[in-house]
Amino acid sequence: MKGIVLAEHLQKYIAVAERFTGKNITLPILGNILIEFLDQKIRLTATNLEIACVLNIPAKISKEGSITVPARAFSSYLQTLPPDDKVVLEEKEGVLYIETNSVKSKVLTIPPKDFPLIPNIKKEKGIRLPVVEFQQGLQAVVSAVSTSQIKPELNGVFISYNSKDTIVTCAATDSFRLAEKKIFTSKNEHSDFSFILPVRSVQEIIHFQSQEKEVECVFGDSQIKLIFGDHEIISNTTTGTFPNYSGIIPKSFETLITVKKDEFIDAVRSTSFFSSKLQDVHVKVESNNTVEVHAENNEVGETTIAVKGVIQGKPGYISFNYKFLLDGLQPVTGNEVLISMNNESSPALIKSSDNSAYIYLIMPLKNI
Amino acid sequence: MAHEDLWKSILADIELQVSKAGFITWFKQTSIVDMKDGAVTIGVPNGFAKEWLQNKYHKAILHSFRNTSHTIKNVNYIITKPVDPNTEPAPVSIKKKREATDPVIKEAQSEIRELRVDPETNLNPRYTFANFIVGSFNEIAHASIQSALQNLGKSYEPIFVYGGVGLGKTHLIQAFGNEAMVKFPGTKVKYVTSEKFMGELLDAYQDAQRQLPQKMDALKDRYRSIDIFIVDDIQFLGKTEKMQEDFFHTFNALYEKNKQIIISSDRHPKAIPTLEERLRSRFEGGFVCDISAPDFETRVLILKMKANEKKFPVPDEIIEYIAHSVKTNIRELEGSLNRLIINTKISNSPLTIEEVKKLLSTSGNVKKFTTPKKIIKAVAEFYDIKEQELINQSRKQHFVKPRQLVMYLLRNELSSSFPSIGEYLGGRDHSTVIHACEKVTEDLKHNLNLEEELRSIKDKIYKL
Repeated sequence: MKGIVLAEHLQKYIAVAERFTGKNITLPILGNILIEFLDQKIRLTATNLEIACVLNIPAKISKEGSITVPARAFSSYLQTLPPDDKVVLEEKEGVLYIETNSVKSKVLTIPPKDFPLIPNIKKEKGIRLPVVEFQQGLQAVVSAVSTSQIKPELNGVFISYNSKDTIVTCAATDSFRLAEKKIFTSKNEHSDFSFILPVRSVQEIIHFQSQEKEVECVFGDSQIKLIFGDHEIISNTTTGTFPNYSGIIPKSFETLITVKKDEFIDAVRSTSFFSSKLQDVHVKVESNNTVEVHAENNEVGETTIAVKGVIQGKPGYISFNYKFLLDGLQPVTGNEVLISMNNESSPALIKSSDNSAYIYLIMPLKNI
Repeated sequence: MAHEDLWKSILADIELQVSKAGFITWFKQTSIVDMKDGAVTIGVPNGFAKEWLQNKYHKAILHSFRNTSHTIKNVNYIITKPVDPNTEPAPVSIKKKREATDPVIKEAQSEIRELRVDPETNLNPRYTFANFIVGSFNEIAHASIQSALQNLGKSYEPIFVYGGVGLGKTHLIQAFGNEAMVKFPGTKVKYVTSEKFMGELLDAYQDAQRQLPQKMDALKDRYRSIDIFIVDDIQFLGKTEKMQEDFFHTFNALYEKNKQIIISSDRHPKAIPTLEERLRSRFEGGFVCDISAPDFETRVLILKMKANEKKFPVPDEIIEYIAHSVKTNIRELEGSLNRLIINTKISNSPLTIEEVKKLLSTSGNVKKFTTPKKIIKAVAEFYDIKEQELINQSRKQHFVKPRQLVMYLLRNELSSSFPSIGEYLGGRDHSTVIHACEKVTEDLKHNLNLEEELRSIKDKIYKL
């Protein structure tokens, strides 16, 4: 096989494909990238058997063929080439010859016969989602995904679509906190659907850089294919049912706190240095429009930071794991965050003060 | 299971043809899901495995199957939930998460109850209301359980269901638990047999003795945070006072919070000897209902339903014959049905009444042996009178009632003839005996107390 491609294309996409390779002791070929020279393009495929990518790069192909190369080594090597150079790639007897103006290299390849086959999901009607909002939606909730292996349904992000209001909802929980973000899509004919994406796949999708405005989602048998223009990501979906959490969110709250988001995040971060092994920070609300964030530790000391805010309702006191708290505050859009709570042992709700597209329900620490 | 073994041998065959890496990667977590009409369906863990097996190994797999069984013509692949929960976990690289599972932190952090990860209910999903047959013998118990389902915790507190062996108590209370979990997702339901409860308590005591109070605290917490508490066979609790005390505290804690408690036993709370007064009075303060033996029509219904479930059509006359001969409990009904089914499958000939008669008579109808002497002794002891008095001529009601019971028992348990019973009990006329038996039979229909007494007496007799 033989072809010519721009170094910067190769560098960029081999680096992306490398992220999708797998470290599998039993099937070492998963650590390789499948390179196929096809009609006027080079196709890169990588997978770890849970998620896979298929990337198509424009190239001038004179002879078709396919090989696999070790991802790590190849990617690192490619980074050293000047991006503007044209790279001539030729495979002869299992060896890949790489040639630019100034560089001549040889890389040993492994034949593709053991490389996994990527399932071909028939393209029935897919749903088109805005790429940026979709990635932001996933990013907003991914921190709440559970790491415990007992319930695999919680090890991913639950994505559901409601055809009545054409809203795609992303949700995740580890039973300590629940995050949900709604994505608004344009009118379409798609019917309701829902699936659970494993967390690793979610992370790769968030990370994937695409120029496309929209991504097309196509469903297969326990799999989903995301088409970003010329490139595709295929992922397994988790079998199981995500818990129905609509009843969990309290209907009424006794205390409503509105504070400037950045100020509050800074306050939590600063006090967290003084938190104990439990990673606890305490939030106290009196009726004089000040929120006090406090933490103490026998060995280090203690600190209290006052943040101005607008308080409605009863004064209150509640403690949180500061990491969970920060996870929930970061994705809030806008300048102000609204924290609603009941008492020190009930969950509190965090959201933007002007919209409910994103909500984060967090359970407190038990006050001993 | 036949499927598992078959798949194991196929895998052994394939292992020799495939590279080790390939075998481990692609064939792990595969299993036979279905096999019928010459087509085998293999379950695979994900889309990649399906694609790979279909394209690369299909020929080898099909060939292997054909070697073992010539009837297999086709192999299909579907994606199923992985069988082994110990799959290599995806390396989650979000560092903060690892710390959240630190045990110290986990202790202090509250969880969203409805999403809590350990729904250890102990319920058997097999028991549902759908396959529970209601008849006059259990309709009150069934109705009270249903009403409790509608008004959780606000109706009777507790519901105490009692009845003999194999009559459906466990089925009913477990069906309640299963239905409650569906109707009110997020409620914490716990089903225990009193024996399991006592076991857990014992464990916790032993730990507490060794200065490790955590198990006890954890146990207390666990039990006091449930919403629906179902206890089966509570009569065993009567054996230990300390257990009763602990149970009492748990019971009270839940009772105060208006949580639904359902209890089952083999007898009325009054009839559980050594049951603490406070527990007894609390049980009686709720709703006590019994499940008696099913009548003929219901037995027929039950048999029909069970035959349907097992997909084994049984002719009506055979069902009626079984319903006639097995009057005691539902388990025996099912047992007889099972015997029939297996026999038919082995002998491959259709069922006839004669065969059924033979089967049922030689099978478990082990007559419990007793003697007239034992019966008299048991009754005399129960009513605290002298055996001589039963045989005497006295017509005092004090003695007449027990005497009539003895006659009834001699007739029913030993199938003695009326004249011989009369002879045995002081030379009485056989018509006296007939009258006595009829009277007792009639009384039993209205008088619950009498039923209780009779049951206890029978227990006594067979223990002598």
